[in-house]
Amino acid sequence: MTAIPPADPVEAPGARIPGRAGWRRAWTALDERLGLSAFAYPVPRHANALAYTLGGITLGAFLLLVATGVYLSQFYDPAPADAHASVVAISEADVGSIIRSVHFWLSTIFAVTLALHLLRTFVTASYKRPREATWITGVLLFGLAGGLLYSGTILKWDQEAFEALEHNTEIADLLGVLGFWFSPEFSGALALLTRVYIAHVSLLPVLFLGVLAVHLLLVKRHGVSPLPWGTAAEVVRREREEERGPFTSHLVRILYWTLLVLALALLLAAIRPTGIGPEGVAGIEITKPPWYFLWLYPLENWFGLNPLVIAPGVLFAGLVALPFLDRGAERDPRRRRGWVALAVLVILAWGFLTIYGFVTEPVAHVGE
Amino acid sequence: MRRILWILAGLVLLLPSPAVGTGGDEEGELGAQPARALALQALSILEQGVSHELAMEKLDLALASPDQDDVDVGALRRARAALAGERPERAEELLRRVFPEDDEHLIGVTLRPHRGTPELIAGIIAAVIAALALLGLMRRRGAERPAEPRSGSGATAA
Repeated sequence: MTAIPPADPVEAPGARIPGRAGWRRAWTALDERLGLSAFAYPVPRHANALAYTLGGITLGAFLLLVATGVYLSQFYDPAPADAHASVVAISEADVGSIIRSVHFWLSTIFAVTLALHLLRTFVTASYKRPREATWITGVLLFGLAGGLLYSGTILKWDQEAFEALEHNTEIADLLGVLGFWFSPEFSGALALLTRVYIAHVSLLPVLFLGVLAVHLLLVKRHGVSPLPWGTAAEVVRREREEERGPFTSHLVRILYWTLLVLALALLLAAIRPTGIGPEGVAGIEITKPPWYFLWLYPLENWFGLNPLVIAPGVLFAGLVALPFLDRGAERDPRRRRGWVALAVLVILAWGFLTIYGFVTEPVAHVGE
Repeated sequence: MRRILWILAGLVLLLPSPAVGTGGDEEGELGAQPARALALQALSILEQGVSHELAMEKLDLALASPDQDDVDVGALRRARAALAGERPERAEELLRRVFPEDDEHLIGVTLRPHRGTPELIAGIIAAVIAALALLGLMRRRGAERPAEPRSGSGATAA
């Protein structure tokens, strides 16, 4: 049974549109020329729950990151000699300081909502047929987000950034030909910092948006995944029978949640503005990575630089392979105890390594 | 939807000129890092044998820093003098005393902007946006409630 309230503006061309005639005319004119209503699709009622809105919230946070990033790029100097001073200058200005702090906190919120979205997708087995490609594009977005967070850490060009870039260079050596782009020798014309900046503001966001477009088209093509509870037959029946609402209703909820994310980032920027470390010195190591990379720190203490390539590689390969390994029809997490146990184990290991990385004695790794 | 557009338009109007995005050419107090962070860098530079001149530069900055909390300034001065006298081992020894063994030899973000009027305004704007967004979400939920006759019909909530 599909019931779409008729009073929605974006449901179908020619649908009744509430509000003033001007809005209606504008919408009709735009829709006639741009086919905007093609973006609309019926959304099951459960998709309006917070757990199923996390992807949209992550997208909202990403768009806010782009907006604040564009602002910051007007004042940031990516030349190694001036980069640190330009960040200090941004941090000394009233608006610059707030926008930089908002950008920083948005990146943290983005990382959290993205991880939670991935976790929800895993728990509800939304990667199963026919949504394997949706999952794989999501995993690609997860990897690209990691690249954005990493490159963003380097741009402030303080001691922490220097050490992150030195790890980058060492990993490039480990990867051989594959790591050539990451090495300072790749371009004689531009410093590695400048190329990391280009990656952060153009290469990675363009790739991210490209993969995101495919991800969103696949979500539209296959629809929002069903609630997983019950037997496989019950899930199929519920998916077929569940009441559906207009896409715009879902979109408005996402917009409200995005405003909440903006409010949270502003509040955190006000309470705890982000700062900067001292100008970096090459060849020394006296910082630890940001919290989202901290799980790698103990591994590096124990086994050297190799785990920095191997551990994320194994995680990434495992996530990509998941839909081809877990091919059963069951979606209910209570009926997929082995997979859920594996996920719990991975989360516990991540938590343990992160906490251990936080409390453990600092160790110099690079150049050892 | 229209309310969101109004909120976004209001936010755009609230934004000041982009020209206030930097603090200008003058380096204020915020540009000066805490002496402790700079001294730790100097110690690490000496330990790794990177460059005595660089270590001296860092100690000069530490001695000139307005933030000399949690650091023995006398020891820093003596370490600076030892370096000037070409005695890096002595300087290293003195700097180690500044940072005892059980102390964490670690720095991160050491310089934070002072909290003032801009942060207060940001906090107020955050509260207003949060209130409007929560109100919008609650009204949305309220408006959709009558169309939920299927509760208890077998479909479990997420």
